[in-house]
Amino acid sequence: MITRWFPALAGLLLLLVLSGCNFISDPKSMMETPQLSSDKASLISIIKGELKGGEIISPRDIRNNSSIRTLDLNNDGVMEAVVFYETPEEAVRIHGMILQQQGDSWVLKARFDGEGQLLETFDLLDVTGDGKLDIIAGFSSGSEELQKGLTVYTYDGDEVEKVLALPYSYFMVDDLNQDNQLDLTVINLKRDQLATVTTYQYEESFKELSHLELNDPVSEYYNAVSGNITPNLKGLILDASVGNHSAFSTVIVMKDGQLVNLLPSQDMTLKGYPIMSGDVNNDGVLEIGMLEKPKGWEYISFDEIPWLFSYYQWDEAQGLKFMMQQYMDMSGRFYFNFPKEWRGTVTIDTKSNKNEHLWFVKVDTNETVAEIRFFSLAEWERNKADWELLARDADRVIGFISHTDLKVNKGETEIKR
Amino acid sequence: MIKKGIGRQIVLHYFIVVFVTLFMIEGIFTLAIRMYYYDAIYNHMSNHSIWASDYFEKFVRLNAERDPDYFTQMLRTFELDNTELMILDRKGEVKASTNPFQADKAIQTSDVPQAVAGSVGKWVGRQPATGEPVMAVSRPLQFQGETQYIVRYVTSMEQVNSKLLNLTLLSIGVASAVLALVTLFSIGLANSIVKPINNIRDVSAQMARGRFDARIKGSYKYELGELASTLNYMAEEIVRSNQIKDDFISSISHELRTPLTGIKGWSETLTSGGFDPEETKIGVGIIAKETDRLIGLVEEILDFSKLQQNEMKLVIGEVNLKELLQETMLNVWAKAEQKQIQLKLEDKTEGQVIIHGDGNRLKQVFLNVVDNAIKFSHEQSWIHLVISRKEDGKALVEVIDTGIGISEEYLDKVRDRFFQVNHQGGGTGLGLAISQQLVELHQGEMEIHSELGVGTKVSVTLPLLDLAEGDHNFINESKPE
Repeated sequence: MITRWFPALAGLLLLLVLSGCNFISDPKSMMETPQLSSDKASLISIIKGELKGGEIISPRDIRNNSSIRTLDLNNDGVMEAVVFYETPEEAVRIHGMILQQQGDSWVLKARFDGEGQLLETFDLLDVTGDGKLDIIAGFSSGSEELQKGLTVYTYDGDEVEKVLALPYSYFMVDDLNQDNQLDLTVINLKRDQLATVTTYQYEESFKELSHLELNDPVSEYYNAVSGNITPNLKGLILDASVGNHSAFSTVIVMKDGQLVNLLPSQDMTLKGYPIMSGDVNNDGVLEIGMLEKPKGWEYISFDEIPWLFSYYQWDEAQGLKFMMQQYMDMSGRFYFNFPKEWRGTVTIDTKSNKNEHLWFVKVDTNETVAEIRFFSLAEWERNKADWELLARDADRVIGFISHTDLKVNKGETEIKR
Repeated sequence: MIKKGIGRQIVLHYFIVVFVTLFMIEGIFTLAIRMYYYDAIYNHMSNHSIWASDYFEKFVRLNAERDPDYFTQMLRTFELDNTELMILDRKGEVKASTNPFQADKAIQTSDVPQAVAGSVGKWVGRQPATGEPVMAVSRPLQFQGETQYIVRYVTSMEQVNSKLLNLTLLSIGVASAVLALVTLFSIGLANSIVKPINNIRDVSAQMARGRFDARIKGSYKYELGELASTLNYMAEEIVRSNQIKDDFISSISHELRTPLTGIKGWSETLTSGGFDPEETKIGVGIIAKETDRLIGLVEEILDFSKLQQNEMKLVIGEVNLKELLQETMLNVWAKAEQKQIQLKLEDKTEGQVIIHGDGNRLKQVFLNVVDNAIKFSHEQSWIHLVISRKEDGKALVEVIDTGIGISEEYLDKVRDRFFQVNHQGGGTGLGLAISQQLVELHQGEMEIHSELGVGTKVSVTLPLLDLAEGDHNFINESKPE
């Protein structure tokens, strides 16, 4: 019995000794990138096979920078994949590819050429109104100075057709004239000269719907949004920067099919700091951001003023209408929404330093209603019983204390972020 | 493999103990190794994300959310080999990913809410699309004092899991080998206990079948050794007591037959022959004498059996030991005269020697002792009876003869029942045994010192009556326990 066991035991021992060197290996060396699901993996391998030396590129688009999009392009119930790739050695640098799913595999259906050097944006939206998704791609030369090129491709299941090619600085796809069909608004900026806003709609081909010229010299539109300007009217807000850091906003609505500049004079919205307009309070209507000096700071230099940000909506009857106000830390460390009743009644005490200590006081009685203070970590440990945490970074803690019923993140007068 | 029995039991116990031990070690090892691998990977991703978020906050632009390259830069900063990196917003929507595809839906695994709450989240589970085991680590990125984005690393644990499985299997293999080895070993160990037990059992079975000549051979240690020697001793004792019993039966039948032959012969003679008055007188005398002898024999046996069953009743009274000895001497005088043996009482005491006891029984003891002395003494010799007091309040009576003596080998056995050095002398072999027990009933001791060919000394020690309390014990009947 023992003689029968002996070889087995010896073998096992040998196995142990021989395998000893990799008995315990580095866990990190065993990490792996998670696999893609099989259909995605097969799509990628097919795309790679079709690239012919090219490389997949993704758009430089903050909203969506994924490089492979799978959607049902031509509305036939079969998924298509759209991908852009670049071939740096060829005359046409950027190309697109459409593949169609067939069972578990994918088949190349069409290739098309792009423009320029860089893929800026890449959207799949139905701008032609035929129920089929179109490829809207923005290309650029890589230089900020030059105009970018907007191209719209349609795909009918077999072929890709280029239906529009336009220069653009900014474009947005929206339904400005509210006819339930997407239209395309293109802004072209000639730096420090003029800008044009043109809205196109597709009726057998892209037709110009309305055109507007903006004559203010603008160095850059740092922000362009489209959406509801009033609950009934759609339009766009362009935040333009002029000079060093001055900015103003242009509000344009589409009224009866025509683009109308609501604020032809930039004076009304001129601000010393580029504030982003947008739907700040999430009510579905865009707000225009403005910079406001707190009372009492009129004769103090720009850099020392603890600026307040105020947001206004357009009202057809009364023009700009105040919506909300917030204290914004210029270094972006925190911000703090004012309760509605503070508007005009509460200001910031002039003894405040916006990097050390801020006192929010009532205008009439000079009574302190709230404070914001910057603590070192050690100081914070001593004071954290009384103060509420607003923000924290590596070496400093920003605390908030309220002398009224205002609480951070609580109640009706909460500090919204 | 092993037949039923204590050996199998022992091996089974070893097996269970080793199995439980190994099982527990195996469990701990498996858990520990799993924890080591998982923690190492988690730490790797977590540490990288700490480094990267620090770097990102310090050196990569923070307030450039409209910069088209924002997420690309973020991805590049946070990138970690062999992981899929995602940038999520607070709702878990994928804003950017190293995976070229657009994410289908928001990430809902438990690491994301943890990261939203501000701490590093960890999730181990299976990818919904592929079922691949993965670990996800999420770290919040804070801007303007609040979590705006979540950096999420996902890595596949497939290779780690298979490595862990291999390790577990390997360790199970090692454990089984150890178990097998220990089991083999335990069989050997069990044999060292089982073999002696089996041997002893076999021998004792033979003994039970009546083969008392069988002996347990081999020297064992501890309890087993004691058991073996006890069994051996027991067998010897059984053989010896059997021998004694056989001897007794043969001697008793001889003793019974001798008087019966005489009685029968004379009674036949008297019945058949003429009635010569002289002859008749002699015959009847012999018949009476032989009958007395029979009665004595039977009484002796009766006494003995009483003593054996602890039913001997003593009639306790005050006994004058000197008088008793003188009476004894008178009783055996005639017998001593026949062999021309002189009896002498040496008195080493002053005054009377009174003891508490049954006079008749004590006389029986001394008669037996002196009778034996006469029986084994040479003709024309002396027998001394010495009486003395001992310091501890006891009386000592010594009967000293210069007879044939008893060899050392028999000295221990003469007091055994039915023992006789030689059977020619007649008697039952009960005398000394009875005497011994009677002396012991009187809380006394009897010792025999003897040398072969030189003589024998029998010492009887009896407690003296304490005169102060003598009255109380006067009529007590001592009932031996």
